[in-house]
Amino acid sequence: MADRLEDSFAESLIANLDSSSGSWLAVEEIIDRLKSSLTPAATKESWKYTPLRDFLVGFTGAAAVTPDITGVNQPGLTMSALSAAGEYARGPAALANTGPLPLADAALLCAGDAVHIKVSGEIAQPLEISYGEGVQVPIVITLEDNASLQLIERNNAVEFCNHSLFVELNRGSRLNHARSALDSNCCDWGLTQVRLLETTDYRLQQYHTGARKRRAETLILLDGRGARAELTGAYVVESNSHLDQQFIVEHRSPDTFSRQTFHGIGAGKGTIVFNGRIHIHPDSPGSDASLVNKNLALHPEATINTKPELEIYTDDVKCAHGATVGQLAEDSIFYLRSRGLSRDDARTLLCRAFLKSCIEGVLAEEVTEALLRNLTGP
Amino acid sequence: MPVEDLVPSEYSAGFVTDIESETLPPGLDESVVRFISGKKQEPQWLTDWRLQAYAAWRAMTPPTWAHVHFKPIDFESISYYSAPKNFEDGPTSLDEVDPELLRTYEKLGIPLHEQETLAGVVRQTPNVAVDVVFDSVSITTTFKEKLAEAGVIFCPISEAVQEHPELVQKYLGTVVPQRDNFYAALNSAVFSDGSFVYIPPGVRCPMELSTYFRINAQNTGQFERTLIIADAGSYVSYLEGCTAPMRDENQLHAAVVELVALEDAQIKYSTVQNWYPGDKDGKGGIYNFVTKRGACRGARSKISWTQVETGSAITWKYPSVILRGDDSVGEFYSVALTNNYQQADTGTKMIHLGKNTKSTIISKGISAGKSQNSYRGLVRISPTADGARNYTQCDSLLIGGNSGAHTFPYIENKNLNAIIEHEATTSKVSDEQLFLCQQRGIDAEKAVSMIVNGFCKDVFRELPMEFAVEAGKLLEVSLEGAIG
Amino acid sequence: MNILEIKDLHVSVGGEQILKGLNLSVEQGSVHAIMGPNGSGKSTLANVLAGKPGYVIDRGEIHFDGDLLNDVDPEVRARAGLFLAFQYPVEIPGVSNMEFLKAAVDSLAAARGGEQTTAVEFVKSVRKIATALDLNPEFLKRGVNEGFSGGERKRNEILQLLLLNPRLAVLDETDSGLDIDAMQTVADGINRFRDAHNCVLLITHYQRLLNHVVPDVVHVLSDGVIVKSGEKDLAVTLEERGYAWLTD
Repeated sequence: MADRLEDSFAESLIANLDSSSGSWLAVEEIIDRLKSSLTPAATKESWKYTPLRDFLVGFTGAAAVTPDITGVNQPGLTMSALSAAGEYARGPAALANTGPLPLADAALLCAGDAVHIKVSGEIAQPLEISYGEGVQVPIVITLEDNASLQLIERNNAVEFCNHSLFVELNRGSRLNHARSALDSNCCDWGLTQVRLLETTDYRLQQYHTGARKRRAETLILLDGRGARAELTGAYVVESNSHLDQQFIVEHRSPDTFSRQTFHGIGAGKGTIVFNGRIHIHPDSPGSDASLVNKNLALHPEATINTKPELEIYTDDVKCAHGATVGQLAEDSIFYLRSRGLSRDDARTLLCRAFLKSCIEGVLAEEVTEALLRNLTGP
Repeated sequence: MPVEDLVPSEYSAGFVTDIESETLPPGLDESVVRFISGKKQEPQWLTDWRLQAYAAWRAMTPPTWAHVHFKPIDFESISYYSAPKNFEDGPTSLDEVDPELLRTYEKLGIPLHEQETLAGVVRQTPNVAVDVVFDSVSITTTFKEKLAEAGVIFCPISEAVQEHPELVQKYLGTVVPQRDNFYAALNSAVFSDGSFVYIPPGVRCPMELSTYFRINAQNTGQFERTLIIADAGSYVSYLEGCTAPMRDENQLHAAVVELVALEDAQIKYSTVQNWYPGDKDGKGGIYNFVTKRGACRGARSKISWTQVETGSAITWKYPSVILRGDDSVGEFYSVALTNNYQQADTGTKMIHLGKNTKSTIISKGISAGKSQNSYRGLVRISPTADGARNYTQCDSLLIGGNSGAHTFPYIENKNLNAIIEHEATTSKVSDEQLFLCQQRGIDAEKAVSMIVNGFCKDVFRELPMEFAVEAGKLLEVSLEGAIG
Repeated sequence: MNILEIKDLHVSVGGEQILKGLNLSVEQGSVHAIMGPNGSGKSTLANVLAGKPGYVIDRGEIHFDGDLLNDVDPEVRARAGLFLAFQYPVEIPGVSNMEFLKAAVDSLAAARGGEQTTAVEFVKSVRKIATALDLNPEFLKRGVNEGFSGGERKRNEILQLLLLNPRLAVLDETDSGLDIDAMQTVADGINRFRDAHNCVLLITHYQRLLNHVVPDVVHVLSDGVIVKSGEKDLAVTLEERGYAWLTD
């Protein structure tokens, strides 16, 4: 069964390919790698808690859809179709072993089917991307030297969505990136790859709820000395929903810095999957990395699977991670009740505080209420 | 001097004992399984059990998920049975033991004569009973009579099969099933010897029990099987040590250890693992692919694993606890030191099923040379485990810039009332630290040893006294002779 | 008129009986001090009055303004005017003092059918009290008790006392961990609170706070029962002679 699904997935990709424009990675090679990366053994680890096949059924072979992009008519921004994908070869090639999706995107990129946005200088207004139904055309954003941008990404699909974003930050550039996916019915699967060159600064604020199935993979490549990435986020998973967030931070240059701070609540009979990997390569002394993932279990049938991973190949590093699963502190609830707050109000206040410490940036206001909307549990 | 030069591994237990052995030719099929079973005059049920395991193993493939790399093992090139020839009929007393063999254990500092125990290395705590396993057979077990007075059974598992078949049949394979994993299945088919312990209800075992494992013969795999049962309200502390000669080829060690703790029982299981790690270039050494698991079956029972792992070319082991009894406790304290080209993928699984079950995991990984050292752990809280608690602390110490330190903790919670905390840190022994020590008159070797010992003290504290001393010395030996 | 009336109160915690038949009446307009050695049940009394989960009433009754309190939720007690100043006020990171105090004031106002204060009025009144208690008004932006020293936490408790203006204030070891100046500030706060319409139950191990807040009655609690009651001098006697002579 799985084999057939995965085969049809591969076929739908082939249908999307125009082999004549494949310039940097042979189409056949992509398909080969795709097939091999879909073997049960290889996907077993990365897809331990989320069934891959739930997503594959969404790939029908229909042509990819261009997402809705606003704010692009500003000085410093140019948008074009990406035909010569060759310059991004290094990125997707590096992704070859992170799972099938990057290869799917590589295939699309290879076929010339991508939107390319170039950014130069300081951009005044945010660039906003909204995803709709179906497989979305990949977006490539290049920030030129010393450019800076506020990017907002929203997922508006309610049925099925597969989207991908490739970002390259050139020397001295800054990107503030806020994103949300708040629909609880959707089946969506998104990939983000951010490659940071020298002295660049990337910030991500990610606010997701659970959905029918939701998987968000984020790969951060710290590829230049002094690159900094700060990832933060809050999530709530309610009944009958599933949220799988994967973060991989690759420290591949000296003096690189990363922070990951994520707080989440299991508020219903649903599943939280959190995988945060810090990978320090041998030639990157002076790396400083940390990850904190805290989870509250507020429902008797909430499942929380978290896996903070470290893979370190040099000794000149500062590295730490922590993960917790727990409940609201009874002492705190009692303190609030002794001052006249009801039990529910006390819980809501504490949950809000727990999430709010990870909510910041341009989306803060619009996501806070959305995340908290059904939080008065048992 | 750079830090990495400070951790050579001088393997002092690497000599070969020249004694006549009876060794099966390499290869594995049903007839080998039948031969081993027949050699030990096993009852039919056990022969059948082994054959079942063998059939299961044939259909399985070796696990590939661990963070270790090695050439596939040719299971047809290994001999599955080797025994010193003199023991064909079994030694009836120590006087019949080959003097060459006795000298082997003397070199290792393992006293086989009971009176030597009183005067020997473990002088401070004379109450250590020792079972010694040499290649495939158990050589001797000391203090048997004294233990029998207390009702404690401590003997080779092959003897237990004859003398206490009801106990063996009742518990064998109930914690680690035959088809649990590839190496456990192999062990179930060809296990040779190992220790058996039974502590009757309410008995506090009057002395530390200890098994010493030694692989001697060439091209031989060692597949011992240990089964420890602590009946209601009993207590036992069990120590395990292991060494092997230096040989250029890799040797396979695939043991299975099963622990069963009934109501209010406690088992403390300590290991100092010093199998031959291979030479400086990564040649030779033991593949230590071991399945160790304990079951806290009764309420308020407790199983505690403490391990100091300095040996083996590759270590693949996850001493685990299944916390079924309400209020039961599981502990895992580990020091794993890897050097040169050693690879270790080790950790634990704590499976919480009962109410108010608690587990603690303290793991200290030290990576030097070009070695790779991984902690891999699973904490699983099931819906039935109300009030479960876990605390995990994983620390890595890197010595030199060419080794790897990795952490792969899986946390799976399905309970509203569980509290799980996991923390990990990474630190290094820096040239600056060493220089400071040297400038204050402490030599570099001593400084590294101090730093490493300090790093490990949370785990050493959990070892029985005489083992703590041995463990400390072992680390020191690994750090010794560095200067010059 | 008695605001608080406790009859034959037996309380256990974790299966262990701590209060073993305590009787106590506190009338409107009065200050009662409860003294006693460690482990006598002082904090248990404070917690059971506030309705802390885990404190089981095995027998006896607590009446507050004539109503039986035994099974009432902690927030309902608070809204009825029962206030506990905690011995160890808990830290609640992420919830700002401002947010917390406003929520408390609003819930009490709603229960009393009064009007909600506006944010501006509210901040004004809090700042005024904070200044009187030597608390930097900037504390409003910080998390509840987050990073507070022991003394700051106790002053924050007194601030809440003055802000919420209850019928009965139970002060559990409010003097512990305070230096002389802080003690004076806290005592001033309590004296400012007490009037003819409310009452105070001061729980303390030492007599020193009673030099600043003069009680009408002093009770000695020992092994879960009140073994002696007297006037203010009793506290002085206890200071001089200790507790042993009472139980021998």
